Amino acid sequence: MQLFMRILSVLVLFISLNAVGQQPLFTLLPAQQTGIKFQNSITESPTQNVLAYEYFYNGGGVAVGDLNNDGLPDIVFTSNMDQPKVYFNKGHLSFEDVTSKTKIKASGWKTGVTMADVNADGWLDIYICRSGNGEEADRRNLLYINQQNGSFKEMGAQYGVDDKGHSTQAVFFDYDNDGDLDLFVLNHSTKRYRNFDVAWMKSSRDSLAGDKLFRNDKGHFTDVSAEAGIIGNPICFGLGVAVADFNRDGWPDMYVSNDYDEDDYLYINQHDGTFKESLSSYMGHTSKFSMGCDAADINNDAMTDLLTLDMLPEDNRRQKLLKGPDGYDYFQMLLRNGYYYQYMRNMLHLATKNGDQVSFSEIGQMAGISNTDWSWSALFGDYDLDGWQDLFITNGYMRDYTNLDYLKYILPDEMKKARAEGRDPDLYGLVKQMPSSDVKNYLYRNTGKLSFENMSQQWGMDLASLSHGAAYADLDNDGDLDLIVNNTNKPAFIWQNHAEDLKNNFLKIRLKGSDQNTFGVGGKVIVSAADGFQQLQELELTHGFQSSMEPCLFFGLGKRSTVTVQVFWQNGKTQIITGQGVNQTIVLDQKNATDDIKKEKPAPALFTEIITEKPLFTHVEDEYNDFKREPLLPHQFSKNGPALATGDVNGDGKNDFFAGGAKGQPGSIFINEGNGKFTEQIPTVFAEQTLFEAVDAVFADLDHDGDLDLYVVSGGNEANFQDHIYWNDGLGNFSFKPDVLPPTLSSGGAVVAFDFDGDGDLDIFRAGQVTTGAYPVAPSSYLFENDKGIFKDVTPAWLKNIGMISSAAVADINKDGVSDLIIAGEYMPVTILYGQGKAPYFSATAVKTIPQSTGWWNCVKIEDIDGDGDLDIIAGNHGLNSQMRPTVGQPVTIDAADIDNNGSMDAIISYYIQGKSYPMPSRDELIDQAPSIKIKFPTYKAYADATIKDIFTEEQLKKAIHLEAEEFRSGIFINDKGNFQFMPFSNEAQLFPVRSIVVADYNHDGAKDILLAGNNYAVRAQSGRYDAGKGLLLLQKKETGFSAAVNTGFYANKDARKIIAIDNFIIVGNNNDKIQIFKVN
Amino acid sequence: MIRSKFLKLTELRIPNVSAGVFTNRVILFFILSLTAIETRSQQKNAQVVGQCFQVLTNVIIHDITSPLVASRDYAYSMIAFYEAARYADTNYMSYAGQLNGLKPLPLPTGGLVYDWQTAGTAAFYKTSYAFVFSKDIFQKDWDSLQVQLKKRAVPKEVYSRSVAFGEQIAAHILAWAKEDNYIHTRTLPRFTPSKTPGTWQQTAPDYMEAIEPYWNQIRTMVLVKPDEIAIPLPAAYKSEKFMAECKEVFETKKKLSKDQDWSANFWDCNPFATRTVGHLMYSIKKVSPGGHWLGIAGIITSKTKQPLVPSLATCSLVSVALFDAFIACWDIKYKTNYIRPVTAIQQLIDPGWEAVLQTPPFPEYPSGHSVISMASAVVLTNIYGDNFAYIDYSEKPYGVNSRSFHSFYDAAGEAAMSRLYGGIHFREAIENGSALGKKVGELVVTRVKLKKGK
Repeated sequence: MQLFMRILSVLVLFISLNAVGQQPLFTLLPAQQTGIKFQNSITESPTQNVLAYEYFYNGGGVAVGDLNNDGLPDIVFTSNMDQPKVYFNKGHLSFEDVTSKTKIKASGWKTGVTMADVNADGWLDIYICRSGNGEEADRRNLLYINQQNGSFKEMGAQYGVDDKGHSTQAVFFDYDNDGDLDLFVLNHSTKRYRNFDVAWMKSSRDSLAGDKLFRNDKGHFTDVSAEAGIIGNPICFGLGVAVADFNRDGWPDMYVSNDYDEDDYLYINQHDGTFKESLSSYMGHTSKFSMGCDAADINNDAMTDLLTLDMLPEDNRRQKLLKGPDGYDYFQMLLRNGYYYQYMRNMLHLATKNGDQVSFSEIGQMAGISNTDWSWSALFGDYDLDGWQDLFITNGYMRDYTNLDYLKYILPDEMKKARAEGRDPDLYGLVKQMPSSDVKNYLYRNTGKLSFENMSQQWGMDLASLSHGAAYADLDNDGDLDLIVNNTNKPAFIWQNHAEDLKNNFLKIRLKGSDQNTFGVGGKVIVSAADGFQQLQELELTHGFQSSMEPCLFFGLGKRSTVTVQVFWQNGKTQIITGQGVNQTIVLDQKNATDDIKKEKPAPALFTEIITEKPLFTHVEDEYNDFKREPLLPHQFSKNGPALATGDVNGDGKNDFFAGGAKGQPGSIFINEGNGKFTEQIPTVFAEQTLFEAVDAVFADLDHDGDLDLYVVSGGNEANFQDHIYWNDGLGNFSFKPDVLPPTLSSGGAVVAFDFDGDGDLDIFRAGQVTTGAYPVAPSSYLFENDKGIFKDVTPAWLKNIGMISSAAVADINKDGVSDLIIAGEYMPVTILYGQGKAPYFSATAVKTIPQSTGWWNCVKIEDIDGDGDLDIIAGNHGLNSQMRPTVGQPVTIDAADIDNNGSMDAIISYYIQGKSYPMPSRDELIDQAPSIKIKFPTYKAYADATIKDIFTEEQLKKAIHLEAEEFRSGIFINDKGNFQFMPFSNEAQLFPVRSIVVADYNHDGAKDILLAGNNYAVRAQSGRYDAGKGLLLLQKKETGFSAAVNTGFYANKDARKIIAIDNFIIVGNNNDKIQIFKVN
Repeated sequence: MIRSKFLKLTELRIPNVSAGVFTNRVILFFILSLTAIETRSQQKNAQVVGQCFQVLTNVIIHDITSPLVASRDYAYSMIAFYEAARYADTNYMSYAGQLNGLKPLPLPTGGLVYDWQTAGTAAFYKTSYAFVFSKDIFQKDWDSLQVQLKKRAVPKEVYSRSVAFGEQIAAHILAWAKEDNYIHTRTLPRFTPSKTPGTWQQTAPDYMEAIEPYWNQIRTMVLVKPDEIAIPLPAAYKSEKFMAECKEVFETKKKLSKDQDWSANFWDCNPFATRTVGHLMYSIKKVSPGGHWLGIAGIITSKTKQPLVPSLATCSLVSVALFDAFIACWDIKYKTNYIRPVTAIQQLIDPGWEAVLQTPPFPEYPSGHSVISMASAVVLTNIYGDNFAYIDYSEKPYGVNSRSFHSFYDAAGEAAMSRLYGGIHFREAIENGSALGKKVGELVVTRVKLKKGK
C-alpha cells in the first residue's frame, strides 16, 4: 500500500510539474538574484520638467551584446538623468555591475543606446545618444570603443560621430554595401510648429532636429545626409527607426517613425549611396504619433513586415478622455499641405507582393494589436518558440497631459485662480498634479492567422509599470528569449523565459562577416522545413525603442527537428545548409557563401493588369461631404460609385459594358472590339443627365424587343435619386423616355431584373441604400412590375422599408421553379425572399432571415460554390480590420432618436470594448451633433464611462430606432437543405471591406474560386481609410477548402466597388479613380 | 446727480395736495426720507447687475461658449432682468413692441408690494440657467451670490411674490427666445471651406472648424433683417488693394510698438486661446468681446452711480446692440467668406509668418470687434454723452491691466485697430466694420426708447 501511495504521489507530482501553463512563460527575476539594481529615475524640478524639455518622459534604453567576448550577452542601460549602467553576464542569470570598470561616464540627458563593432576588431562598441535642453557639449553623442579589457574609450569626436542634434537612437548598418558599418542617427526637434507650409518646412534643414546619415570612410564617418536624400527639417520628431530590406532587392532600407504631424519616412535604398523617401508608394497610411517600431516576418511568408506604435488606449475611458473632434477638414487640410494619411493607432504593415513589387497592407486592428496605449518598444520575437513571431510592447506615460479636461478646464481654472491671486500660474505645479499611471505592458502570441492573442496575464506579464526601452536576449543560453525592460522610477524588469518547458525547438544563428562588418549586420536568413514552414529574419541590431539586441538571430521551430537554412549576404552571395539540426547555435561565415543570389522567379501570374496610356474610364467623385450634414455617420454614402454592368449592347456577340459616373459625370458605354479592346461611347442622353449619381446598373431586355436596355440606379447622399431606363435600339444606341418608371425617392443601392410575375418580361427590384439626412432610417425599396415597358410600383408595405440594402441577387435558391430574391445590407441579416410566382409575388411569411447574420453587408453572390447541386450565398461584409469586431453576444448597435428635439436624428453607434458596449462618438463629436447634451456631460470625465443609456433617456431609448450587427466577417452561407451554415473566409479576406465578388475556376482545377475586391476610403477622419485590400483570390481545393493565393497579379489595390467579368477580362470599378482591367491568363 | 434725481422723484411722487404748508413740509420730509432711502438702496442695487453679470460670464467662459452664443445668452438674460425690475422706476418702458417678436409681458399685480431687485434677479436667474451648459457651476456661483443678496431685508411675502413675477417674465422671455431660430441652426450642415483662392481657410494653431455659419438666421431684435445695412465688398483677392493690405499687416507686425502690442492683447477677448509647451497644450480663456463691452457698460453705470433700473437699461440696451451687431456682421462674414491675413501672408509673402494673436475660426470680413464695439459705443454715447472718459478695468480678472479712454468712440476705435495690430484683420474689415457697427448702434438707439420723455 505504501509503495502504491508513493508511486501515486510521484505520479501526481510528475503530472503537476509537467502541466504546461501552470508556470507562466515568464517569471520576473528579483534583483537579489540578478544583481541588476538599475532604474531610470526621473526627478522633476522647476527647471527640469516636461515644460522645459518635451521628451522628458520618454524613458531610457537597453542594449544587449557580449561585450567581453565570453559567450554571454551583457547589458547596458541608459538613464536619462543619471549615469548609464553596464552589467556583465556572469552566467546563471547573475550579473555584475561593471560600470566603473568600463569607465563609461555620460553627463547630460541620455536616450538611446546601441551596440556595433565600429572599428571592426571583433569586439562590440557602444554608442550612446543624448538629447535634452542642456548645453551642446552635453548633448553630443558618445562612442565608446571597446578596449578589449573590460574598459571603453570615448572616441565620438575622433570618429566623427559625435552628432550634436537632439538624438533619440542610432543604427549602424552598411547602407552603401561596401562592407563596413555606416551610421544613421535619429534626431528630434524640440520646438512645436503649429503652422503649415509643407513645401517650405519640409525642405529646410535643421542640424539639431534633422536625422543624419554618416558614411563610414575607412574608419572615419562623414555626414552625407543632404546628398543621400535624408530629410532633416525642423519638424522631424524621430522616435523609432527600423532597418530592413523592405523591397527585397538586396539593399537595406530604413523606416523612420516621426511623432506629431511630420510623416514617417520609408527610405528605399537606391543602390547608389542615396535613399528615396517613398512612403506613399508602399503604404496607404501610417501611425500619427509614431514611436517605437520593429520589422519582422510575422506571417512566415519570407517577407519582412513592419509595426509602428502610437498612443491609442485599449480601454474606453482613456479613449474618451483624450479624443477630441473628428477633425475631417483639418485632416483634409493636412493632405492638401502634403502630409500623408496618419491615424493615431499602432499600424501593422503586412508586406505583400505584386509581381516583384512590394507593398504593404495595414492590418493592425484585425491583428488585435492596434490599441496598446502610449507605447514605446515593439519587439517581435518567437517567445514561445512555436515557429511564429510573437510581440512584446512596452508602454506607459508619466503624466497624462493628453487629458482634454486638463486642456479645457483644469489648467484654465488654475490660470484664472492665479490671476485672481495676483501671481503667475503654476503650470509646473499643475503638471505635477497630473496623474501618473503605471500601465501594463502587452505580450502577444502570434496565432499564425494574421492575428495576435493577448497573453500578458497567462504568460506572467501582468505588472503595471512605466516602461520604455526594452530588449530581448538569451541571457541564460537556453535557447529562448528573455526580456529586459528599462522602467522609469521603478527597477528594471528582467524576465526569464521558460519556453524550454514547452519542449519546442530553436535554432540560434550568428553571422560572421568577412569585411569590416564583423557581425554580419544586414545578413538575411530564411529557415524552412519540409512541411512548408519558412521564416525570414534580417540581422539588424537596433529594434524597438532606444534599444538594441545582441547580434544573433533566434528562430523558434515548434516540433521540427530538421530544417534548411539559407543565408543571404549583402555582397550578393548566398549559402544553403540542408539537414540542419536544431537546439543549437550555429555561426555562418560569409566566406562560405560562394553562390550568387538568384533573383526569385515569381510563379506565373494568374492575372495580368492591362495598363493603357490613357485609362479607359476614370470615375470622378463630386465634392460632397456627408459628414457636414450628419457628423456621426460612420462612413459616407455619397461615394458608392461607379456602377458597372455588362451585356452585349450591339448584338455582335461580344459583351460590352457600362460605367456609371458620380454626380456631374456622364456614364459611358464601352463597346467590346475583341482582344481586350474597348471603344468608349457616351450616348447624348447620358451627357444630359449628369445630376444623378450612378451606383448600380443592369442590362436587361426591358421592352422585350430582343436587345439589352440599361437600368441605372441613382444613389449618393444628396438628392436626385430618380432611376433611369435607357432604351436600346438594337444597335447600341440609347435613348431616354421619361415617366416609364415610378418615382424612386430614396438613395438607391442595387437593382436586379427578373421576371417575378411570370409573364415573360423582366421586372425590377430596386433596393434603397440610405435615407438621406436620417441615417439609419430604412429607405424605400421598390418592386416594379413591367407592363409593356411601363413599370408599376407593386411594392408590398412590409418590403418597402425592409432595410438599408446594399446588394441584391436573384436565383431560384429553393429550387421551386420560381426566382427568389436575396438581399443584404447594413444592420441587415442576409435575407431570402422566396418568389411566389403569383401576386403579390412575395410574401412576408415567405421570408428567411439567416440567423445571426446581421452585418454591414456590401455584396451578395449566389453560386453553387461547393458543387453539391444547391445554391450557396457568398457575401462580402465589413471585415475585421476596424475598431469594431462584433460577435453574436457583443454586437455593434445603433440607436437613433432626436435627443435634443431639434428636428434632426441623432444616430449613435455603440460597440464593445473589453466586454462592455460604449458609444462611438467622442464627447466633442456628440456635442457637435446634439449641443444640449453638453449639459449632461460638462467634462470629458463625465462622459468617459457613459453608455448609450446615459445619453438617451429611458423613454427616448424605448422609442428610438435600434439596430444590431453581429457579424462583420465575409464568407459563404453554405446551403444545407435550405438551412444556411456560415463559413467565414480566412483572415486574408477579412482585412478589408469586401465590396464585390466574382466566381470562376481561375486555376482550372475543377473547383470554383472566389475573386474579391473592396476597401473604403470614404470614412471618418478618425476611423482611417480601409485600404488594406489589394484584390484577393481565394482558391478552392476540394479537400482543403479555400486558401488565399498570393501574388496572383489581381492587384485591385484601390477603393474598389464593383467587379465584372467580360470574356477573359476582369474589370474593377474604383471609386474616384480609374477602372482597372485584368486579363485572366 | 443724486439731487436732481431726488427732485425728479419728488416731482412725480407728490401729488398736488392742497393741504397746509406745514403738512406739505412734513409729508415732503417724510417722502424725502423715504425716497432718500429708496435712492440709496437703488444705488446699492446697481451693484447687483454687475454681480449677476459676473456669475453668468464665469460659466460662459468656463464652457468656452462662442462669442455669438454668449451674445444671445447675455441679451435675453439682461432683457429679462430689465423687464422684471423696471417697475422700480416708472420712467422706464418695456421692450415689448420695440424688439422683433416681443409681445407685451405679464404685468405685476397693481396694489401689491414687490421688491423689484428680487424680481429682476429671479428673472435673470431663470433665463440664464436655461441657456448655460455647466448648470452645476452656474448654480453654485448663483447660490453664493444669493447668500449676499438675501442680506437685504425683504419681507417673506414680498419676496416670494417678486420671485414668482420674475419667473413669469423669464418664461415669457424664454418663449420669445425659442422662436429666434437658434435651435434650427444647430441642425444645419457644418461649414466646408471653399477651394477658391482668396476664401477663408482654417487657421493655425488649432485649425478649428468655422463657427456659426448660419448665425444670420437668428431673428434680429431691432434690425428688420440681417442685411439691412450694406457695406462695400472687400478688395478682390490679389488685387492691388489687397496686396497693399497684406503688406500693411505684415509691416505692422514688423514694426509693432509696445503700446500696439499691448492694445492687441487688451482687446484680444479670445474665449479659447491655446498655448503649447512641448507636448503639453493648455488654454487661456478670456471674456468674449460682447462680454467685454458689457463689462464696460457696467463700469460706466457704476461710475455714474446709476440706480438699478437705469443700470439695467444701459446694460440691456448694449446687449441688444451686441446681439444685432453680431448677426449683421456674421451675415457678411459668411457671404464674403474672406481669407484671413495669416493665410494670405503665408501664401504670398512669408510662409512662416504668424499673427500676434490667435486668429479666431471664422471668415475675416468685416471685423467682429469693430462692428460690435462701435455698436456698443453708439449706445453708450447716446446715454452718457461723448467724451466720457473712463478707466476700463474689466479685463483685470483675465490677467490684463486697466486702460483709460477719453470716450467710447475712442475705445471702439482702438478695439478695431487692435485687430490689425494683432495681425488678424485687414484695414478694410476694420473700417467698414466700424461703419456697420455705427449704423447698427444708431438703429438701436433710434428704434428703441426705454425712457419716457426725451
